[in-house]
Amino acid sequence: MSIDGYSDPTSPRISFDSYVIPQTVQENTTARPLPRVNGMFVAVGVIAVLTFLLGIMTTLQFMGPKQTSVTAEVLAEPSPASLEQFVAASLEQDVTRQQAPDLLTTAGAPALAEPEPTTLEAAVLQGLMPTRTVGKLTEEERKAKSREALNIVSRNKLRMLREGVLAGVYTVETVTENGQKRIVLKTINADLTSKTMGDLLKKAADEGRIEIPASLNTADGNVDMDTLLFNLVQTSLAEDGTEEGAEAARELSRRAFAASNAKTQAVKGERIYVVEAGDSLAYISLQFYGRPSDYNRIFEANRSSLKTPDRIQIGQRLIIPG
Amino acid sequence: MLRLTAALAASFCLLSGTVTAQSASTEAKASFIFNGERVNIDRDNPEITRFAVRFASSGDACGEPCIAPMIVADGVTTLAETDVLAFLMNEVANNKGLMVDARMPADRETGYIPGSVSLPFATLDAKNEFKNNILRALGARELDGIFNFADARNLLVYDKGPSTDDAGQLVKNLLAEGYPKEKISYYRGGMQVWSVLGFSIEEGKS
Repeated sequence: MSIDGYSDPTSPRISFDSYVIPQTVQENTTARPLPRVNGMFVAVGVIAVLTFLLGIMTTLQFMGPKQTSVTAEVLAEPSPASLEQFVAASLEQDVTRQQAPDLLTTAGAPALAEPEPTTLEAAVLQGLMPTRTVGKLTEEERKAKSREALNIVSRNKLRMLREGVLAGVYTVETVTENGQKRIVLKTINADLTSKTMGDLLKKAADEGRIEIPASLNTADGNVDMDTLLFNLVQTSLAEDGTEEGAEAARELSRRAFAASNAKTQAVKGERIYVVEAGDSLAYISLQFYGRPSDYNRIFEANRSSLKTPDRIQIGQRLIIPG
Repeated sequence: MLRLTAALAASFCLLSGTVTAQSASTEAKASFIFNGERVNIDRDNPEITRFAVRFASSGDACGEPCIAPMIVADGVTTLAETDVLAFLMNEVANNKGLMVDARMPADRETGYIPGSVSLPFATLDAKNEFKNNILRALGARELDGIFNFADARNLLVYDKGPSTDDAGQLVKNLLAEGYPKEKISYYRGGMQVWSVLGFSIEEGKS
């Protein structure tokens, strides 16, 4: 998961640090002391808080259970606050691609230092430092705020990953982790993203804020974060309604498909795949169909031996429909 | 005296040569099931002369001295007869690999190695519209025009022999489609060496 591994000579090399105001990627924001404030900062801070509150209201509007519009179609799993909803909402809310800075043409330029991230940074800091806020917030409200702040951070990072894929500045590689070969998505603009996003999403799932689809549970009892991220990025591209987005999603499929090392055996005219440690149904789907979201094809073909998509076992033999 | 020594040395060399040859050579036989039928290969071809003459070739045949290189492409292994027999017994018999004849069908009819299948080099030409079907038949997976060769079979490519380049063309076409070089090997001897050694040969359409 290192930027150094990237060696495409035709694409410009863009470092992550050039784009993101450093504080927005800090994991331990709570541990950071707030800079000494002066009058100007307080004024900016007040504006920031207002903007932040406005942002949360919009977020809640998109994420609330009553929402029915755009994001509902993206749902793959009928859970009330499913992952896709979470992602769709956060992407929906973000700046659109047309407004977003072009990652390819602004290498090193402070294009992202527009008001939005600055406000965001202040807002996140404020949200995570309850004593500095205007006050009168209950403990629960403060917790809700820090969760929303986390949301915003992850939204920002997710956007970087997504933009990287859209711009084509990424690779889909097989890497060996713990003796297993894995297909991993790497973008040169957001290498931090896949690591920190994985952690953030896992945290969100642990807190019950989002639901991890059953298809992402691995045969050895973990959650397949790489495939989760892959799916998030791909889904958001495929569903963004633009030709570029759809084509970028297809290209992502092709690269993952070509990178797969998964082998099958032909038994009585069927392709049989033997489940390995670290496999999730979604990951197997990624390898054979280029899309984690196609896991249902495999699930349906194996209903006789699979009760739910998260019950795959190491060594289990699965039919892979052609 | 000098003559005697020379004769002794010569006979010794001959003797030791025979001994090493015997110890290094393996039994040149193969018996396996292919396509539901038992295939037997040995070196007792009763029509050895007829076949040897049929595949013999001088430089006139191609207008210039055409001789295939020892290495047909980077990373593609060149095999000798015992390796060919081992490939048939291990890879072909277990459905993991195919021995493919790169010649056009008319040439193949004149005689082919039992257990091999026809894969004329022209069928994998970039312009052939059935190329993708053939790649799929070889075990490659396709998505949106992209091929994944994780499941593709190991191929042992041969043709008439060192005087022809059909196998070279086929290997080139396969590599151009992305077929992994580790999954391709080359029997350079082809029918010309195979027939002279008296190995079993089948004739006709297949």
